[in-house]
Amino acid sequence: MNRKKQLKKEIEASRNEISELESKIIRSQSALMEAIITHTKPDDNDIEYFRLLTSLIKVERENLHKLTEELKEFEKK
Amino acid sequence: MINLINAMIFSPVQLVVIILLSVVLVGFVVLDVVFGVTLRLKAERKLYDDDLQSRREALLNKLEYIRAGGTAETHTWLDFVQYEENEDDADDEENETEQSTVRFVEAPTYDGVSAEKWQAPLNTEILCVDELSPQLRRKLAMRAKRHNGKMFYVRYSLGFEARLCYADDETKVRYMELMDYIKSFEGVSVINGFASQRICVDKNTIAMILFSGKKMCVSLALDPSIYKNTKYRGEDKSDTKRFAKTPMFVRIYSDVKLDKIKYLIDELAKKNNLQQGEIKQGVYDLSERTREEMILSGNVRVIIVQDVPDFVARQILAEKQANGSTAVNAVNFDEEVDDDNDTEVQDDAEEATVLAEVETDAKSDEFSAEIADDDTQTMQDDAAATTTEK
Repeated sequence: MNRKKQLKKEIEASRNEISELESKIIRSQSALMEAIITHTKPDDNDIEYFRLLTSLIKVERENLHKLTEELKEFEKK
Repeated sequence: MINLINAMIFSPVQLVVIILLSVVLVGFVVLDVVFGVTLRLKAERKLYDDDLQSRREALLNKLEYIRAGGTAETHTWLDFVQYEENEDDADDEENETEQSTVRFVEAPTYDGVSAEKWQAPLNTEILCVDELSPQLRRKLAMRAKRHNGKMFYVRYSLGFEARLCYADDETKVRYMELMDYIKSFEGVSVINGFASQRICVDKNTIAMILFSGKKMCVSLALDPSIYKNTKYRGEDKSDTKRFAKTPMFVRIYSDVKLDKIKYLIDELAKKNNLQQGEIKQGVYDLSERTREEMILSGNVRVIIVQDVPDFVARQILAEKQANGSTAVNAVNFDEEVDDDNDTEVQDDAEEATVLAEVETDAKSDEFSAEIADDDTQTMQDDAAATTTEK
C-alpha cells in the first residue's frame, strides 16, 4: 500500500515537472520559430536551451512511463 | 499543601529538573521533525532508476552552465541526423536494390540570392570534399579532381547498426538479450539490412528488429487482432507495405516490455514449429565508431541537401586560414592514375556507389553521368576537363 501511494505521488510530481519544463521551453521555441520565419540564423544559446529542455522532458516522460507501468502491475495484483 | 509536597516521590528540585529535561527533549523532537520535513521538501527529486537520475543531473548541470554564461556545446555530426519523415514507407528491404551511399534532395537554388540574404538550409553540416580521406571520397563518388574544393550542405541517415551503436546502454543490453533469445531457436537466421535486421526461417521473414526514431522496435509475423485485448497487444501495421509480412509492431521501451516480446516470440516459434535450444550469450560489437568508419561500412548515408555557394565557401576558407586550421588534406592524385587497373576501385563500384539515386534535381542527373564515367576516366581526360572548366 505504501509503495502504491508513493508511486502515485511520484507520478503526480513527474507530471508537474513535465508541465513546468514545457512552459520553460516556450521561450526558446518561439525564438527558433521566429528565426525560421524571418530566415535568420537562430542564436546558439536558444538552440542549446531548446535541446536541453527537450531532453529533460524526454527523461521525465520515460520516468513517468516506468512509474505508470509499475503502478499498473500493482493494481493488477 | 506542605504535607502534599512532602508526600511526593520527587523533591521540588528534582521535579524542576525533570520538567526542564522534558521540555528540552520535546524541543529536540520538534526540531527533528521540522528539519526532516524541510529537507524532504528541498531534496532533489529521485527518478525511477539511477540511469534516468544521472541523465537528468547531467542535463541540469549543462543548463546551469549555459545560464551562468557558458557557451553552447559544439555540435557533432550526430546532431545533423535526419530521421525519415515517414519510416513506415521505407523501402521493403527484401526487394531492395543496392542503394547509394549518397542521396540528393530537392532543394531551392540560390541563383540570384545575394550574400547578405543567403540563409543556409536548416540543420545541415558543411562537408568539405578536400577534408575527406581518399577512401571516403571514393565511397561518396567524389574522387575526381572536379570535386576538389567543393563543399556541400549535408545531413546523415543512420542505418540500423549505426542507431544501435549510438543508442543508450539500456537499449544495447535489451538488444543483446533479445538477439540471444531469438538465436536460441533452431533454424533461425538473421539478415542485416540497412534499416533493419530480418529474422528468417527458410527464407521467410518472421520478424524484424528496427528503430523508430531512437526507440528500438520489433515487428512480428503474428495477427495483431488476436492480442488486441491482452497485455501483449501491439500496433497493427498490416496496411503498410513494409510490414505486410510482420504486421504486429511492438516498441521496446522497458524490460517488462521485453519480457512480453519474448512471450510473443515463443508464440511465433510455436506457429513455425521451431525448437528452442539453450540460450547462449553472444558477443556483439556495439561500440561507437567514427563517422568515417560508419560511412565506409555502409551504416550511414550522406544526404546532400545543397551545394555551398561560392561566396560562403570563400568565407569558410578565410575563417579556417585565419584560425590557423590545418591545411586542407591534399588529395592523393596518384590514386586516380591507375583507375583502369585498380581492383579496389572496381570492388567499391560493385559494392556501393555506381549511380547516385536520382531525384528530380537536374544536378543529380549531371552528377550521375559523371559517376558513370568516373571509373574509366584517364588522367588525360581529367586534365582536359579541368582545362575546359577554367
